[in-house]
Amino acid sequence: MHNRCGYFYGLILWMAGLTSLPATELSEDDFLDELPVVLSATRLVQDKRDAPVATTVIDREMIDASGFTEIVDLLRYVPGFVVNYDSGHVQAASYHMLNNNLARRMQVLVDGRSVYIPSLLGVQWTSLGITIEDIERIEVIRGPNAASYGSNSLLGVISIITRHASQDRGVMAKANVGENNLAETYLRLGGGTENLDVKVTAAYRQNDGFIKRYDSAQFRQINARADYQAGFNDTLVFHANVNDGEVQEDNTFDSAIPNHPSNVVSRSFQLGWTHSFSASEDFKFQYYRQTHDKQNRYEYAGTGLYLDQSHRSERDDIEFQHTLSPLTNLSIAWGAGIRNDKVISDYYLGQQTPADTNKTYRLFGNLAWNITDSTLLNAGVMLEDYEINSTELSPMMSLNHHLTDTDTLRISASTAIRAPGIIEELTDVKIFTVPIVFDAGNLDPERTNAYEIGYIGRFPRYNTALDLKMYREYIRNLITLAAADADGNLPYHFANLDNVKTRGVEATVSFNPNRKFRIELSYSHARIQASDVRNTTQYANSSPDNSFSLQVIQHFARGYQGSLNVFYNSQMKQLATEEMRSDNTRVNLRLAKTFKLADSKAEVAVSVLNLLDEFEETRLKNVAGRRSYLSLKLEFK
Amino acid sequence: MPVLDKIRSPFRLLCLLLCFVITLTSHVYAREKNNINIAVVLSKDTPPYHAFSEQLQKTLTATQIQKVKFHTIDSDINDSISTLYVSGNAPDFIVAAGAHASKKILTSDNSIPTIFSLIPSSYYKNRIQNSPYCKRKKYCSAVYLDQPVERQFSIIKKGLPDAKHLGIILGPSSKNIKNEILRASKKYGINVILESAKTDENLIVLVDHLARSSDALLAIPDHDVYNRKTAKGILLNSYKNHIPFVAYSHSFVRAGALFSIYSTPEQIGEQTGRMLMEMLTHSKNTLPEPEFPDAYKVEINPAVLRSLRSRIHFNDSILDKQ
Repeated sequence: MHNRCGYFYGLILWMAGLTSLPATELSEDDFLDELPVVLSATRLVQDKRDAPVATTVIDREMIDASGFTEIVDLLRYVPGFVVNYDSGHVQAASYHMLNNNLARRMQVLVDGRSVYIPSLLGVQWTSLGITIEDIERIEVIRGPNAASYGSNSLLGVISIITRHASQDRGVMAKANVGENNLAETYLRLGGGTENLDVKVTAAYRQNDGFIKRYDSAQFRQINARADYQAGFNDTLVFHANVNDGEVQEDNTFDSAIPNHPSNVVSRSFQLGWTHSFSASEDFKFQYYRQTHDKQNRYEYAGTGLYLDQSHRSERDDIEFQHTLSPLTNLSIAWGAGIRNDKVISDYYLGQQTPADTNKTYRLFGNLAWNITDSTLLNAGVMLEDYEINSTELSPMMSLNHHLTDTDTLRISASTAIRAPGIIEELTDVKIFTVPIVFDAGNLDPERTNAYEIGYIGRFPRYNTALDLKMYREYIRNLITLAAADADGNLPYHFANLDNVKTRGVEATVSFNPNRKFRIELSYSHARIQASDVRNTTQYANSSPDNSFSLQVIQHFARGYQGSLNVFYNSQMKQLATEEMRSDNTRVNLRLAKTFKLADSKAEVAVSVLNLLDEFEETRLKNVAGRRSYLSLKLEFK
Repeated sequence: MPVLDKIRSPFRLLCLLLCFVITLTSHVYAREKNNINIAVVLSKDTPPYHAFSEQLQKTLTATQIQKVKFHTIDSDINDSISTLYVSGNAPDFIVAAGAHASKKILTSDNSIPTIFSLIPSSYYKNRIQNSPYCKRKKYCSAVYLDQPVERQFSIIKKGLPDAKHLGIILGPSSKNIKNEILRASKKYGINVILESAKTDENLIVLVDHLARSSDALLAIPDHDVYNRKTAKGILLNSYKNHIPFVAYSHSFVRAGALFSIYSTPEQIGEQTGRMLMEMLTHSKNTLPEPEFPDAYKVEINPAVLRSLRSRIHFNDSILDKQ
């Protein structure tokens, strides 16, 4: 058998001192000695049956079999998610509603670090500080859940979990080479002692973006993770990364902007400490700091005058969380945190006050109470106080009833807000003295109320699992960049203009008869009603009515593995314009073979993305075309 | 002849005869006198051993068959036993708790019936059973700490009814019970996927194989496979693959195993006490055969179960039998 799981197992045991195996006499110490808590309460994933809202997990096998090289594309497997590209290196993903080129209304976490960039009001998917190779799994909470995750979890939460350093001991080298000037190399080194595991990943990635765009990108990245076991009950984890990108910007929308290069650098540092009192009680403390710098200066409209759109964001965040189980049928997680966001930008905030900060205090509590053996109540609340805005309370409640061991019904009501960001609340954009966006006064937070009825079923006889969700979401006070008048004249301002109602149904089916064959299917039907006060249809068409994804993974004999991936979206608005893009079907194929060499393993894979070569000509000129690439991966001591 | 010369000395002859009689008849005599003296040797001065010792004493004193005196020995065995003889508290039985204590007893010079307790069965079979200490007389027995393989299969069959394929890694010392595993596999209709941890190459292949083809992993105690260094990686990866990990200690379940089947030092202490009681009550001349634990716990990690619940079928009735 040859597959990816073997790498992990093999490396772990291999590097953990089992390179030779002298028989050591077993004694009672092997039964009585303590072991460190490995799967602490905060490390465990909440079971789908007990989750307060629908969840989807994209695991490592799915990631490997996807053939994708961009992290954002993995979200195509999640029902209701829309992934779209503004350019080759500006990627966007959102749940139910994608009207903007940044995931403004999603909370995105990497190992608990919110990667939302205040100066962008969104997430830069190419600068997360990790590579696709570092990911253990992606947990997606499909629905608002501010009670647990705070502001920005207006539509949902994406939580990316990277692998523990002990899972990546040894050396991994990988190269992807293919069409569209795709060239990627990854090098990971891992090692350590009994109590300390360290790994470092370095990557270089480049591609030419879309065929008709000036949007190629080159990224150089290095990230490190260290896990230290300080005694039986304490673990420390440390992350650091630097991501340096040279990207091309083009003039697709504004002829005044020439094709020009820009530079994006992001850095982060994160320290976490977990003290486990028992298997179900721990205390977690976390601090992180991240910065994002974009240097973007160009000659404006051939005038000889240079416009500097550079900006810098800083985010410092400190949080503690106490997870405990005071009764056998009751689990509680509570905590508090402080966050300080800072944006520095002459362009966005004006030359008078080019730097602004926004401090946020938060206090949260969640409980899971098994009222009976078959009924679980989840309830939670988050209180957030914003320096530049109001104090907001976001509650959530769900009732999960296990009809049988294999059938669960869930009803839930949850809320979330998105507080206005610094560059919405304090904006002052001018191009040379001409006002472009001005501060029109205080904004209210966007708020959503969501209701869902879910069914989670397992059919062991057919090796199948089913997850259904019917929902309604009401989003109020959407902050829209509005023109001065109905004709779209300057200047713009941010205003709470729009409301959106979404209703729909989502389903996922997993068929997993054995560990060699697997099918994952997702389907979403969504109907959006939007006020679209300025009649721009930017919200009404921001989601396809129907979408589905299919992934089939088959492990064959002699180390071969094949996977088929199909994605369909019905028509929807394209990013950043009001034009519609037609429905499209994407098919990815991947064939891999694993070789076991003397002291190492190798995998060769061929991936074909967009096999059907679906042509899509839009104003964005985002024509992807069929792309193939070859991948070689080596793992050894 | 020099030896005969020595024996001819009437005093020496008398001493020799006395020793011979005391040694051979001590356990029989013991049951006829009022006081029973039990020498207890603990491997460490730590809570598990204290719990064992306390439960042992509690079990025997509760019977009130005879007055039982316990003497905990923590220095040189020979000296301590001689001291007990001199003070009129000649030990009728020795109880060794743990491997270190057992090792000390094996190097001592006495013929007192000994129960080696709180040790793995493999330790007794490899180190004690055929030792000169036990070879020369029939006064050795044991209460093991590990669970019989059949019990583990029986509990997995009931607790994880959907686990048709059970992955087991055998190390250099646990490979000896391969046949027992195969017998249990046949009896309970659970297909086992056995892999031997021999070399680097085999290790990579075996973990690969197990992750791909098993519904659950059963840890068979083997220091070279499961130890503090390796536990982290094994638990993380079994969890990553959504495979329930069944282990053999409280520590493992606390660390992240789905559940563990194990006996506590108290339970072993009680069983050791009952073994002695049996001897005292029925005046047997030999100790019974070594025993696996009668009593055991199935301890679950509720957080791991909650997390895996939708992927596995877990029957919590296995928790009833404690």
